[in-house]
Amino acid sequence: MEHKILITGTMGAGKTTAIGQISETPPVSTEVANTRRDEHAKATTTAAFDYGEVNLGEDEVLRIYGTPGQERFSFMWPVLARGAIGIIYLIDFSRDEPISDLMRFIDAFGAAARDIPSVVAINKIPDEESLAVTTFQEFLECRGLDWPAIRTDVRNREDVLDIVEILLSLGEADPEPEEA
Amino acid sequence: MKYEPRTLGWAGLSPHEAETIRCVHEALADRLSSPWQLDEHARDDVVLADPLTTQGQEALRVSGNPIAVLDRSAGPSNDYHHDLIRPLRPCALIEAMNAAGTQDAFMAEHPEASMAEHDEPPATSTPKSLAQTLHDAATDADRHTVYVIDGLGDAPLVVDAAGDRLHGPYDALSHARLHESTPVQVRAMSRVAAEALIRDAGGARTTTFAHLWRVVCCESDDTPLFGCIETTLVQLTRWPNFSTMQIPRALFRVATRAHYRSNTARALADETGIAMGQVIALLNAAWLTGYLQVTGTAPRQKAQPRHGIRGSLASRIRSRLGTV
Repeated sequence: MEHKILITGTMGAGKTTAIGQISETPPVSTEVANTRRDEHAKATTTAAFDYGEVNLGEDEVLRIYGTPGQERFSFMWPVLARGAIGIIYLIDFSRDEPISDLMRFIDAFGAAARDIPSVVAINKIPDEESLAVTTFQEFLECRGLDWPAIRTDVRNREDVLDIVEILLSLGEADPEPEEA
Repeated sequence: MKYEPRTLGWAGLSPHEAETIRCVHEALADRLSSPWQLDEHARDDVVLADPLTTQGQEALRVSGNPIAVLDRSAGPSNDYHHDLIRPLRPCALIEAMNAAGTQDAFMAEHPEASMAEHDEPPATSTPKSLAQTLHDAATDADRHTVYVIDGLGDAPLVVDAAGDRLHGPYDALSHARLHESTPVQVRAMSRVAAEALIRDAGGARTTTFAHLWRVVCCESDDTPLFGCIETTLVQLTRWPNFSTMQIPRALFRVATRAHYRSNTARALADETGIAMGQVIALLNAAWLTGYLQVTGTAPRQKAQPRHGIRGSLASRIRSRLGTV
């Protein structure tokens, strides 16, 4: 049996690093030379998707996919999200408009993805930016999305485990059924 | 008294920057010290403008209160009275809007407005405990009222929920103190009067509600502040900031369950397998800082632990990742 967690975010947000923190096998990374230096200055980027896995025993496996960050691949995102037990929206706070980045990803994933347990993980927040998580949290509330936002540094395994734990907790806790 | 909203415009900014301004205005209105209307015109009360664009240059020339939005690569500039460095950040934007929209500026432009209406309400003694007082301040529907608690230390403690700050002898807010039932002296006052009080008190002893959360969580014993662990139904009204509250990973499950549905502390402990003391600590902190509401009472009964498929999958993943 297979289960799937999706990590999505802009180019350079840290998806590949995050997968590497939890995958038991060396992450399969389809990195190629970055031809869109206008979007991000890094030398290589993910052309298809990153992939890692955690073996749960007895032919059961958790697969972790990182979506390609470039917007021209956005048509793939909702396809990848199908059947996922959770989505991590990884936001690069050092970009010019991180809130708008999140908005674009949420819209691209579409209405179907809204029912999938999701966490907004905000990476690369400078220490002095104390309002960042609150801004994202309240922005999500304004959009009617009952997802938690959390500050993260994906270079730390513990931070990535925190995100996964929140996803798992969301999956376990059934939301209150809406009143008719 | 109702204030006429000041208008905030922008010129020469990117659509995403405009979006960020709208997001901050909508999502963080309670952090703004005066009401604002957004209106994309160069002649608004305050205009954010990029001097490297034609529209921005025009706005900087005609606006009475312009804020230049500069590229980081350009470095700090002395050319503008007020400036913001890209990327636009919520903190900086809120600070700039609050500076531009201060009461003083408003009163200077509207001398007919009477200050009498801002006078501090008379001090009132309430028969509430310190914990109840903090909870009430944090959940007050009128988010622009500031509460001042006297008698905790050498200076009054200013509790400003909308501004997410506690100013004064907050070190006195120990767990033991929070459980005292002795009534405290509380004054409600306007933000303007509170600012004057803080200025007069001097010093910079300010912290956030997250600090209060952490104190309660660290020092908590098994005494609930929010009611009865067996029968009081509670629910988180919003997501806590997992990072600044420093919530242990083991309690994430409690937080998500408490967020999604009303539960008793007993049910939360039984369903998650987390020790009751830790559950109470989390709920106490959430209640005191305004994140938890009491939703009713439940019949006294023991909850059934969950053994759903998703729960067992989560357990296997946790076990494999070494997070249990």
